[in-house]
Amino acid sequence: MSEEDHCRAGRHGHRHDISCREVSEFLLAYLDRELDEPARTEFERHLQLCPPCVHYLDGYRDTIALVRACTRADAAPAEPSCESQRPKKAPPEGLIQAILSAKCRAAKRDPSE
Amino acid sequence: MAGFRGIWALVSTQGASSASGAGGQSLASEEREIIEGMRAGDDRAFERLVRVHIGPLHAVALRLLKNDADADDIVQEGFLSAFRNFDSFRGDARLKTWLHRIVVNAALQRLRRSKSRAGQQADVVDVTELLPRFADNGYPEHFHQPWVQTIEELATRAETREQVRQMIDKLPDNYRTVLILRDIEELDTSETAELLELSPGTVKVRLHRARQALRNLLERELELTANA
Repeated sequence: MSEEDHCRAGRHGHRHDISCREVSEFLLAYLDRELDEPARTEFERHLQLCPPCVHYLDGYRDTIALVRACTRADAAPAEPSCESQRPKKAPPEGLIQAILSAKCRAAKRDPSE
Repeated sequence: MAGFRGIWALVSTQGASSASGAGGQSLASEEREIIEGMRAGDDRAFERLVRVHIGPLHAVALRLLKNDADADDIVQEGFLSAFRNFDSFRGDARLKTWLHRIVVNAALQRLRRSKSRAGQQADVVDVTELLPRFADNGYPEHFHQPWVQTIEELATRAETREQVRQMIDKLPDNYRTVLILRDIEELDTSETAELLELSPGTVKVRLHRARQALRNLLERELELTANA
């Protein structure tokens, strides 16, 4: 049976009580464990019978993981290899000095600070 | 600076709730020295505060604003605001959390102001076109396939990491900001809702659509399925 047929198996005896559309709509609630027990059971029964929805769920989870993995070392330029050996981005010294100067000016304007 | 005034109650309570994350242990000695120095009006303490925290704060400002000059501006504004309002910092909160909320809030305010002036950018995607489509009977129009590359394989390539960041930047601001705050900055739904002045339900809907749109965009642009 192809995955398409499998997904449509409701016509052939594997009746889905929730549709693929509902799986997509309630994915966030499922992952956040906000579905009540009967709904969660139905959701998981659908997943057992529907590989395309499992692939969708896996891709959704992978998207979250990929976003985190790709932004953790944020602002890292695109460059080859030696990821672990790349020095951390230096703090912007010009900005630090600008902040310190602005704070001195602010303190002079209001000595109570 | 008037826009900062309203957030102090928010950042105080949220900072406190995050402070016990390390098993209730006392603040690190460096943090304690900075706090004591700040309260004593020691200039060196302010400089240490800036040097210790500027990197991550600049990164989150840049993520939200997508512009170096605006990020610099907001980070400077945030540190000055922290200096002026240090009395409102509670000792049981983490400095990092407190400063993070100040800068995120300031960046979101800047984003709202600039959006009302300039309208939407040209290279932004239409989220509704990237959501999964279904027939009337609930079956999908497109049957999803497994991805052929793992997260580890994708994330080790610098070029791919840059592509992913660019795709996040293509989301409309109202979806992009929710995704950044929830999935990158790892704030919870209620904190995100409060910062964005939205209901928790709206945050959930936008987060889900942002993830779905990005999932589709990644799959298509990075050719992640065997049929691609």
